[in-house]
Amino acid sequence: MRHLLLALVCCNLIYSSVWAKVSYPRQKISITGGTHSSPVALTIKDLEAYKKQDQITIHDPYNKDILTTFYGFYMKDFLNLYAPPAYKSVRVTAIDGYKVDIPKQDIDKSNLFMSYKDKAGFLTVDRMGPARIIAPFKGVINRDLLLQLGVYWVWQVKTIEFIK
Amino acid sequence: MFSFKEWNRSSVITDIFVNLLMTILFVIVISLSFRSTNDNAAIQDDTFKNHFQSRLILKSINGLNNSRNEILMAIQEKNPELINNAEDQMLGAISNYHILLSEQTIGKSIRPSLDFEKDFKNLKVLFEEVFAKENVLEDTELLLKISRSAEELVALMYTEESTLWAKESIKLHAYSEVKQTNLYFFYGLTICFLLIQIVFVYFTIIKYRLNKKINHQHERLVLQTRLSTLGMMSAELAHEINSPLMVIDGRLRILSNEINSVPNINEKLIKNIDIIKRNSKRIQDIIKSFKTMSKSGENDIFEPLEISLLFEEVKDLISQKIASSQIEFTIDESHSDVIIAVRRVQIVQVLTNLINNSIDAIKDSANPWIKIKTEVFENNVQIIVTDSGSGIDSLHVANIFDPFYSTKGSAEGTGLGLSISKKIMKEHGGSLSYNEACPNTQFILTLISKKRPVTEDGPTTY
Repeated sequence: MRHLLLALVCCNLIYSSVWAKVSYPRQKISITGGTHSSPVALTIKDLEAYKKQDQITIHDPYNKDILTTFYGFYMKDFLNLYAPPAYKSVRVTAIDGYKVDIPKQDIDKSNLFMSYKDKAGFLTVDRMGPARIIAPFKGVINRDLLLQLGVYWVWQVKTIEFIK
Repeated sequence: MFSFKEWNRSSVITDIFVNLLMTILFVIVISLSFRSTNDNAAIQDDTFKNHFQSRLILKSINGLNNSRNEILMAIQEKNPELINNAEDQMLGAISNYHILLSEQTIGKSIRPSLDFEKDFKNLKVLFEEVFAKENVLEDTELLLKISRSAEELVALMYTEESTLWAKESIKLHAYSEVKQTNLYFFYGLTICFLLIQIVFVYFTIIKYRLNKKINHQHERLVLQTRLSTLGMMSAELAHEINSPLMVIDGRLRILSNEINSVPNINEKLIKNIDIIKRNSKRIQDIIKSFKTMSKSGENDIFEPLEISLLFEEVKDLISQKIASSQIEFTIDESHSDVIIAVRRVQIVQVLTNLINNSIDAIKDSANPWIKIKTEVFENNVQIIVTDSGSGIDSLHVANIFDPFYSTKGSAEGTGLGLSISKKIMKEHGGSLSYNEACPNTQFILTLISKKRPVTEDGPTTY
């Protein structure tokens, strides 16, 4: 009896691991003003399929400076897929209404990174997902520097609009 | 308290003391300013943190309100998609709330936020219940419950935010006080700095003046040493030179007489004798000048002398030189009966020196003349010596009475004549001056008149 129960549990685990569906966040990220004539709505699954993930490890200043590894890609690489020629900036809007214009040169200069996943899993909205924009840096960022860079730290990314 | 003179003398000590005092004051003000600035910066830092936390609370509130609106619109329009938006807004509110907690932990915030985690978890559970149903709009009561819960949570969060601002306003008041203090410190620093500069400049000026005085006195010391040495040497030198000079002079006279008695003598020979005579006389004059320098004159007595007699004696001394130079020499005899109190030899020496200078200056000019005139005033008598020269160059006027200063070549002038003359006149209670206003070269000897007779001790009054 004991062996039978053990076998059932193992099978369940194997079944779960093989057949279980990966739970992607429901929300989508909308890209407007790009090379496509109409807005493009990307799911997290689409983002995952884009290319092999990059990763960065930073002390997250908005989560008690805990050392966290984020997975995603550099914005300049991703935006080039959709960017119109000679765009000047991108306007990023969050679910909570926060809006910021990021100039093109700052995207390159600050090496902005768009993350959709960390070691705990996909970033859900209550964990600043479905995507968040990070400016990578070394060590614990001091509050003065965060004042300068923090404006580009957009969480709960909802839309990305190219501005010419 | 130091007097000004004492302050000058002990200026080094005062300098160190004042500088030390100002430095200590400066350091104190700097330290207090630094502390005040630090307080200021701490308050500003805190203010920013509170602003950020306040913003996060408001963003959370905003998310909850948007969530409620989406729910109500979904019910009204029967649009299930809007329930997804409502959940997104609620999750966004949770996200901002978590960031707030993170900020408060790191920043060691004054006031930790109330525990809203339980309320947010309740909302999440309620939404899960909604999404568990086949039709999300099916249970309107559940949706309205979510809306009410969100509304209650919003009220709590508004209270939290208001409390944060109440604390903030107290800090802002403290900040403005610190700002005012900072301004006072700034004024204090500026005043300290200006005072230090003034003190520094003041002592630099004093130092400069002292150095100048020292240099001037050093030069005078050197000069006086030279004069003193010269004076000491002169008596001995005069004696050493005088002896052979007397022999030369005597033998010259004999030689001259013998040559003059020879008929058809070579003119060149006579001329050479004359040259030797003149130079011998010149050596005698120089010796006399040195003797005068070495003499203090304090043993000679002042005696009354009629001016006419003075002029007679002077004429005797200079007549030959005047004649050989073919200079028109006139003495105004008016007031010549005036009596002056003088040391006879010295006053003759002064007048002779002035006339000799004039002769040397104008002898090669056209129509040379020398005039001597007397003017009588209530308290003094002036003897004015004027020659046909056009005056002394303004460049030299300031220095003509300085010892060893001479406009003649080194072969002719010792540079001592006028300085000795001035010294003699001073001892007489009078003066020797050069009249710049006169178009010609004019010297004025001022002597005490006979109303103030002089004794051995100098000029006195009745």
